[in-house]
Amino acid sequence: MSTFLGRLMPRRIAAQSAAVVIASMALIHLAITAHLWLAENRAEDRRRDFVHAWTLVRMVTAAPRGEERERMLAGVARAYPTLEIALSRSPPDGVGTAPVAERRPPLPPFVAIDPGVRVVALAPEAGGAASSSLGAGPPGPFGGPRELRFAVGLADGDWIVFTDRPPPPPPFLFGPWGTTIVFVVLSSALLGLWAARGLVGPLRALAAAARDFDIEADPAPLPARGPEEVRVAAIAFEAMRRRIRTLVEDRTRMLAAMGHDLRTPLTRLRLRSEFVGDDGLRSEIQRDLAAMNAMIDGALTYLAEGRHREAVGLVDLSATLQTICDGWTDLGRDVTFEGPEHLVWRVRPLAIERAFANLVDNALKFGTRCVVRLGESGDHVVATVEDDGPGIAEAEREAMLKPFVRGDTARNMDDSRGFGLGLAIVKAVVDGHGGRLGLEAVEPHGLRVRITLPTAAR
Amino acid sequence: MTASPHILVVEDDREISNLVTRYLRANDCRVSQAANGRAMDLHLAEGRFDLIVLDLMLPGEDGLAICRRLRRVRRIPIIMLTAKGDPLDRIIGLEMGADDYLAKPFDPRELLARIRAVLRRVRDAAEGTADRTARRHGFAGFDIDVVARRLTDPGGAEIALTGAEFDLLLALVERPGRVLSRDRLLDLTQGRAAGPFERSVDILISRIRRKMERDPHRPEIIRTVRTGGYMFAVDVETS
Repeated sequence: MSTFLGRLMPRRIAAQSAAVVIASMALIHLAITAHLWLAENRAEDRRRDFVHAWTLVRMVTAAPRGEERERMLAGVARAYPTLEIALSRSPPDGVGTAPVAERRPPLPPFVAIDPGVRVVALAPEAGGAASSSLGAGPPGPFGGPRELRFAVGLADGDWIVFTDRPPPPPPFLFGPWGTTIVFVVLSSALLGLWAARGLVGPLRALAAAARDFDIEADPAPLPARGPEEVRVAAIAFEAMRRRIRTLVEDRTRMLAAMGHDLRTPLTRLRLRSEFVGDDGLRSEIQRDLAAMNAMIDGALTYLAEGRHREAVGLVDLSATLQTICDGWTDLGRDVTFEGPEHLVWRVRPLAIERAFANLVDNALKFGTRCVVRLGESGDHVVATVEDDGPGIAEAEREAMLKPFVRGDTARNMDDSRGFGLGLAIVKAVVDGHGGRLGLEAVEPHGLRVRITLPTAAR
Repeated sequence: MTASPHILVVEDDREISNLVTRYLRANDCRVSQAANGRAMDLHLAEGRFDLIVLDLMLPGEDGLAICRRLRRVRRIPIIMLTAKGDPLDRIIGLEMGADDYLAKPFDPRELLARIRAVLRRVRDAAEGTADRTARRHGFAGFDIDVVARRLTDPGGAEIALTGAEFDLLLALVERPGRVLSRDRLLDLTQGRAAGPFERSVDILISRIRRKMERDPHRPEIIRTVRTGGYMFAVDVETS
């Protein structure tokens, strides 16, 4: 049933809006028709008027011929504007050509006729033959009451012509202007309803799909309903998403392959360096090799982050941060951890460890001491990594979070990291957890990286 | 390590293979070379080897497949070499049956240290002092995954440990109820992650306790023995 209706439904926006306007026109017509039908069938009132008027006319006929009768009749006519009552001195047209008995209209049984009074049906003005029914003229469109016309011949030769016309239908809703306004309101209301349900909904779903655009995740369900234009846009959007994904995948694969291929000569160099006799030269070569390897590692890590997302699991963050700090303490660096004994949170274990290791690494590269703090606040954890280095100028903080962007000279003294990926990797990890990363200044100098992780990682 | 160990290097890059061979020979090892899985099979058919250094990326049959195949027939120790640094690859490699794992480019000293550590573990296993086939140890609600080198608490939360901490804990867990001197513990854990800044056993123990014990000042899991040593004091379930 619904599929049948669905097939009948116009698909394009123009056709759909036209259909809505046509539907509202049909509704207005239906309303007007119903209105007329009700008006025509309000016959009871007319019959009462007619009986009243007839009674009055009988009183008029009792009045003496002349001015008195005319005055009274005029009064009756004024009292019943729907009835046309006219007095004539001579028989009206159409009277006397047929025998009176046959021309007598079948007045309702409660209409009394005085003796000596002739009642002759007349052909209705609207056309048609004199009829022997109460209604004479053509019936209304809904079979309502007809026009009734008859002459009453009084004994003294005066004639009273009675014309009972069905009243013109009352105007529909305050006349043509009202009808127009109602039509406009109705059609725009229907258009609005259609737009809200049939157009805005699918468009909103498309917009949501665009907003949640994620190259890694499976495609968000695109709107399957809605006008054809929206569906075409959705399909085009999906195609674009696939193209971007292919592009990114190709780029990632290329870089990963480059990284992999670089590792082989790097390994050879590293092994060869062991046979360099000069100790100073050997250690310099090995330091450069380590720097190169760190750069490749950083780039590959950044590319991998989010691509092969590890599963979320319960992790004791205190133990993780403590372990990182201990590692540096063992190397003789001033790194302290302040936080609870245990703080278990749902995170991606390796990614989080990598992120904080990067931060502490960075802090010690630019400062002499590092403080890592961990705390729980409501429904999220806050971790800060603080150093006493030169810090990052406020204007540069945004840029520092982008991959392959290097800081100013102060943050660029050491080339061992390269590519400026440290903070970008951390940002990618935090984003992957649905968390926030902020950079703050420490007084008198230094940088504090503040990481907030929500309860449920995405 | 009474006699010099016989090592088979399976590596397709001839340069790397030669350099590794040269370094290991200079450090009192007998070394044979194979460029692929088939050459390796020929060597294994002819001679006895103590350990295989296996490259992950090999032409034809790759390192993982070779590792799985070897594990089905014999328990020869394997150290995997790979260009991938992804820790997940490492876990896969270890689950395939490798005894250890080293990412390229590596310090040849590190390779030598790991070769010695693996050989020592094999020797210990042969002497029956430790179960080398164990994959999981459970105690007091904690769980140690030997392959993935992960420790989880009774609530299932992962507890980070450094390599040295993990090795020390494993050495204790593998010998519950036995008093182990500091020297013995050092001996059992040496080789992996050993370096000039290696902390003393006492500091490692206190770090492990802080992460695991309910009250680190009154330890219930790892007890200090007055005569100079430590003892793992809770029951261990090994699977």
